Amino acid sequence: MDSERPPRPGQRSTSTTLGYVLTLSIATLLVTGLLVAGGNFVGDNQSRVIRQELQVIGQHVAGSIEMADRLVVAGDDVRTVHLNQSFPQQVAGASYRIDIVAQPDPYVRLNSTQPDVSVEVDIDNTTSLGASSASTGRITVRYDQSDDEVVIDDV
Amino acid sequence: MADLRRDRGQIILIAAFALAITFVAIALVVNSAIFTENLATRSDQSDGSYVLQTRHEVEQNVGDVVEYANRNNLSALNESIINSVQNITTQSGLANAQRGRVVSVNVTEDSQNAGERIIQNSSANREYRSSSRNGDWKLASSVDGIRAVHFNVTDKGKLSTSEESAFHFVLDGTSRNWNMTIYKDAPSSDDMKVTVTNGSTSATCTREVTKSFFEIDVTRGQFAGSPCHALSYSNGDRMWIDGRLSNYEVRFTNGSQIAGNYSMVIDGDSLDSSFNSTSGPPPHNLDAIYGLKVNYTFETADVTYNTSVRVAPGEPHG
Repeated sequence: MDSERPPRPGQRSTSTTLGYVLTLSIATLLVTGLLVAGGNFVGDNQSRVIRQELQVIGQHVAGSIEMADRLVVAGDDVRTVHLNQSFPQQVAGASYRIDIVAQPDPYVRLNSTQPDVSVEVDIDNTTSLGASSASTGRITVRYDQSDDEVVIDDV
Repeated sequence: MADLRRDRGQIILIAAFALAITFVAIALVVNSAIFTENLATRSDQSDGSYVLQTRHEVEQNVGDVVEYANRNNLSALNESIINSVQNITTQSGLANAQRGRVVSVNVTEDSQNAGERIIQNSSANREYRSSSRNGDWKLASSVDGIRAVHFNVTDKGKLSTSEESAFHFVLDGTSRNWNMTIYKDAPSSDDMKVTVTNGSTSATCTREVTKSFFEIDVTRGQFAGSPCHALSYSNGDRMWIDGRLSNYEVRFTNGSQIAGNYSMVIDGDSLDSSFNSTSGPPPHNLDAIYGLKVNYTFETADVTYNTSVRVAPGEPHG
């Protein structure tokens, strides 16, 4: 009957505790994995959406700059050109900034912070462009008569 | 044991909350993506192209006013143009105000360029000679611009068959000149030729003309009713004087080798030959407006544009 004696009092319910610990750790592991994967998924998509939106905004801004360029070329002794445009202040929850990079092959650069995304859109111009930037979403493209160049600015 | 049972499932609960937040975040991101699509389908500055379209209309309208004033030889040219432009701005201003735009056009007297219109308008197949019957003669000097140059050759039988002895229309500048020759292929041929030499570049157009007359609109680049490359672009070279010529003389050479009518407007008023008023025998000269600058303003909520627009109808664009 020795073999059928009950366990010693100190070893009772050890398997239950072990079971809990195992269950909890596996659940934690699974849940953590799920959260990490979900977070990455959201982060990746956010970056992708920001990139797309910055590209779209960049195309619009480049279009406005080229339109201002055409207006300057079409005029004779142009005094004022102002083209205002509104864009969202934030793209997918991130604030951004628009710069004209004035160089022989000029382009518009859009940078978002957190997450950091940078997009460049080429400009085809005749009038020279001035290095300038805007960041509030409501921008104006204007012609600076004294420097004979097209710049962007916040309204 | 009771305590343990109450704490059970906390990790699942927290995880559920965290996942719920993730889902909300993904919904926001998807929302942004949809908004991007919306933004992408919006047009650019739609008013921008309208600014240019209106500018073009203004140039056309004011050009017509100048043409009308010149053609009808109105007295008080400057005032009549100012009044007509005022009419244009009143009418277009009203139409645009209904669409929420402000368009204003005005012109001042000192922005107008005085010129001279030289014409020969005779029904007698008159040769292109001066009033003193010279075949080689100078029409004007110190000319800074020429536009609306039109030749109507009414007797093609008179044209020379040799390029050298044919009629030449010459714009003679200090450093370079421009030369147009009108001749025909052979004595009985219907093939008419125009050769243009601009500096060192030369080009020729040939047209078959079965009627007894044909027209050359030099500044519009038309020869016998169709575009002529020798008057516009030839192999990528611009054949018109292109602003590189200033302070030049306008001359006819071998004016006896052509007959018909012509008309042109020159910028400047130093005429070199004796012209008659319209009552005497041709050629005539008339005071004219060569060109002018109008002040053009366009405003909407999002667009402001203010510039001068140069109007010189019939002057090729540079």
